[in-house]
Amino acid sequence: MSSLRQRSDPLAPRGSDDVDERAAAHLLRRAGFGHRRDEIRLAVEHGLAATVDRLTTLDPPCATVREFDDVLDTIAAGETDAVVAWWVARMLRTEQPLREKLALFWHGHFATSDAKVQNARLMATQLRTFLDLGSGSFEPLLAAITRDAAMLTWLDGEANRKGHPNENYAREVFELFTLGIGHYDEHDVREAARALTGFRRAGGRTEFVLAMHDDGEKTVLGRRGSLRADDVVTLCARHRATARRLATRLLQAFAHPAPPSDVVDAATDVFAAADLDSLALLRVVFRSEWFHSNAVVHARIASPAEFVVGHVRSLHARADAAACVAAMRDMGQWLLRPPTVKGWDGEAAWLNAATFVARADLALRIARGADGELVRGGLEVLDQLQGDGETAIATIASWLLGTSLPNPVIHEIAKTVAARGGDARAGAVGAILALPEASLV
Amino acid sequence: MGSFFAVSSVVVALSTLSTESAPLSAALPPDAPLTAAWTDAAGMLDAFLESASWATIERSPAYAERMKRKDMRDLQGAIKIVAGLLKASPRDAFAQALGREVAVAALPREGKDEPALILATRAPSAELAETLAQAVETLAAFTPGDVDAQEDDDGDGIRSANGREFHAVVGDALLVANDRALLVGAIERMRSAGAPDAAPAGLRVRADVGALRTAGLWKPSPTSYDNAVGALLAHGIGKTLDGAASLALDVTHTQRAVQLRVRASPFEPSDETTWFFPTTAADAPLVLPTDTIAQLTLTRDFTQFYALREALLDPTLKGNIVEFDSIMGVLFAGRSFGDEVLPAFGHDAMLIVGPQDFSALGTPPEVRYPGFTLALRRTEDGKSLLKANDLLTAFQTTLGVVNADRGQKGLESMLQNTERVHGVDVVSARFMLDEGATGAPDVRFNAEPALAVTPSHVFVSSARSHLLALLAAQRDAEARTPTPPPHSRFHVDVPHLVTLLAANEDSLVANRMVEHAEDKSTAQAAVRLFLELLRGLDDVDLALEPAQGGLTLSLDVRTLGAL
Repeated sequence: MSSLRQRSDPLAPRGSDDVDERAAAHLLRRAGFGHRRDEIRLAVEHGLAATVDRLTTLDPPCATVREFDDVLDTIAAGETDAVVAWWVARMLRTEQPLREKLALFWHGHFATSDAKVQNARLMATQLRTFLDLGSGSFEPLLAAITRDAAMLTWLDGEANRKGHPNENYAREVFELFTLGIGHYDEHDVREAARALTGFRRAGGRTEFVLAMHDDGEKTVLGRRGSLRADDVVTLCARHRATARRLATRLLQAFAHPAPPSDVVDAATDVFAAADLDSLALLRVVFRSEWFHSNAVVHARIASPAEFVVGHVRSLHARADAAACVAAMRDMGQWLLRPPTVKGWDGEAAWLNAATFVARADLALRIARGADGELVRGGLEVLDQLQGDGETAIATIASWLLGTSLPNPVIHEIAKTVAARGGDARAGAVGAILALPEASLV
Repeated sequence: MGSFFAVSSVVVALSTLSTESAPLSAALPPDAPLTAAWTDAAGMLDAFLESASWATIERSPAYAERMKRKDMRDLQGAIKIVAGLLKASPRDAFAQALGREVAVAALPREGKDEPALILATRAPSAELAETLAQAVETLAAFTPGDVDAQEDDDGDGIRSANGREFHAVVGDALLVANDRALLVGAIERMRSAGAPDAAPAGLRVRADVGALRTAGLWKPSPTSYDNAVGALLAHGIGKTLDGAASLALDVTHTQRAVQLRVRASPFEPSDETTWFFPTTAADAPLVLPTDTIAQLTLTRDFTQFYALREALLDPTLKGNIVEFDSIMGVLFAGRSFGDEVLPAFGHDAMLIVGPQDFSALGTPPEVRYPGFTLALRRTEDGKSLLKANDLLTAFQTTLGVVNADRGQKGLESMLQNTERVHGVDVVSARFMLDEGATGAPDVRFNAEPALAVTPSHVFVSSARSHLLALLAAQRDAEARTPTPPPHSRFHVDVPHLVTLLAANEDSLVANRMVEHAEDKSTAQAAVRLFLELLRGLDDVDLALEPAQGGLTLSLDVRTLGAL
């Protein structure tokens, strides 16, 4: 029965609501950062549906989110690095990590870099847009980003004026942000650029100046009229190709780097029916049999943000946000400074000799937990673990990696830890997090 | 470990020898490159533990959290063991164990990384010294060692619990060392020593720099710096320490002050450091507004420093140096910065930090920075090199360049203004509030750069209102006796600093939330604790003075209440 359902609906819900620790950890890692032991216990106790509901309920914002929202203006008065630290501090503290994770997704999607914008306040405003609108329907988000002052600077929106259209933003809207190549032509780009004229920056805001707008007739994606920015947004957001493209990207980010085409088809249907609401799609995905299958568990390589924040959160460690930001940068992810308008390549591209060493180095620093280091104290969670020696290492590994390590590996770790001296269990954490398996999510 | 009773009887016999009052300094090897002596540590501890500051720390969540950590729990456990043996509270146990007089020495050991260490402490009585010895044995038993190397007193008074530490009781003193021969020598020296001198209260550390250098324990100062400020602050200190034979550190306290003095001797300026220790003439000092938060004075030959910039700064900065030269050339109408601008000023430069007056804005900015003003003395010769108008024009050019750069980045520009205040021309620039703007202006409204040239000084400020306050203070000042400027001095008026920080509490909390990824209440508690601790202080003064025979660094911290 279950296999018949799966054939007809690849995103059919799991037959059973029960989740074991492994499945709970998998869900927590994908819908958030890391998997704390108390969260795993709660998920096992409450079952899959209730846990997915809890993880995907982001309104009203939790107290931590509200507190951090209140101080963003103060932080944004400084450097952009402080805004990044603010975001990472939120990731570390929030009780609703899916909001941050979706913002991270949209930041990679609408990749805008402070390298060109050079304005902390504008980058903070864009980030707040991802945080506020990233978990809802896509059309309002696209509309906001189209008027976003940082994006206007990043893709030369101010240079796009009546009589002198600049096609940068229009081209990226079609190619990267919505439909994708093959669903539009050069004429659409030129006409959309005309429709997008008239915006300019006024301090930290964007204003629409009618005199700078090309109010003439245009034809975009087959629709003719005196089109403006909102019309381009609506045409792009409601195009079937956009639903498919975004559904694919969401599946890649939250489930599997190469989702099967039947799953993409099903996700596109769900997404389109839900008015391109990200949360609505993720709710279905997180409850599906496919999401909990062996093919999906541990199928992704953690981005530096997932790696750093995930492990710090899992360990209940207290971390300096700025140090976390620096660690992510060493691993190849400088938040608010993506390498190109295409964002980060992700997955296998995260790992090379240098970035892998950076991950191992972070593992050791977390384990050391010294004052003034990346992590200030913490690791009291290890006191909850039973066992000693290799038994303790096996327990820690099973919890942190969500999988069991072969005995010879555990034996080697025990030998390394003994040779290093110091706190044996903290040493084991360092050795385990330095394993390649710790980069899988 | 030997029987306590047997050991005690031997100790009683030893303590009745003749060494009951021998000075602890006698126990230290005369050739030790590093020694320390602390007299009346209990007095200092008492003063601290009874202070309002300690009460604030003790009730803070951060303290409670810190005390939960394993290292702190281990320390508490050790203190409890000692306190239990002494049948005293932990505080009394400290007073008995280390509170009267302590002396420590460290010597390099051939073929070993760890130095040889000896510690001598004077207990209130010979009996208590023996009890302390038992405490050492108890604690040493927790440290793995060579059980076979344990030894009982075999007549020379030396015992060991684990073969790694050796200790002995001599009169009312307990001696502990990690080297047996060191302890033997110490006992002999104490036995033959006379009555002790009355040691002054406080902590004294002495280092034989030459010996430390020979032992490879002294790191030479850097040959170049990665920024000019580092070189201006530290170059001469590093070079003096490199050539010093000895280093003396003294920490003393009174009821309302703690003083720290570090003296390096001999002090012999070389060609390399002439610019760092220039000879200066006495001149009328600046008068600072009464609400000044902090001031930093540096007396250096800036012209000579600039001439040596390529040697003093890291070679990687060569590009920045060339760029700086060329920018200065533009700002000063083609004049050479090193030959025609810097020589126009005296050797003493002062950075003054004080509050800003935001009344012109209506509502102060959301984050309130103080004003920073740099005061450079104009020399009579220099006035012909660089006239007041040259400086005013250079400043206006600077503002123009800044505006052009901001404009290019799409940022708001500043409006320039010239005015005559108290008979002095002032050039300034400010941001304009948006039409109809409400609420607190953003952080850029802290910047209102200004420059004024008086007959005696040039003032460059981040804030016009601070510069005007300084000009007013000079105008109202009475005749001042010329005095030589301090070589280096940093002074903070803590109550004024607290006023500024308290006005920015929300911003401090926000920064702490981000920096430490803390929730608001935790960050707020930490910031308030910090402010509370600062409220106990009156002022902090850090000074460096070269003098015949030695270079002295002094730190004075004065409190508002008893320590």
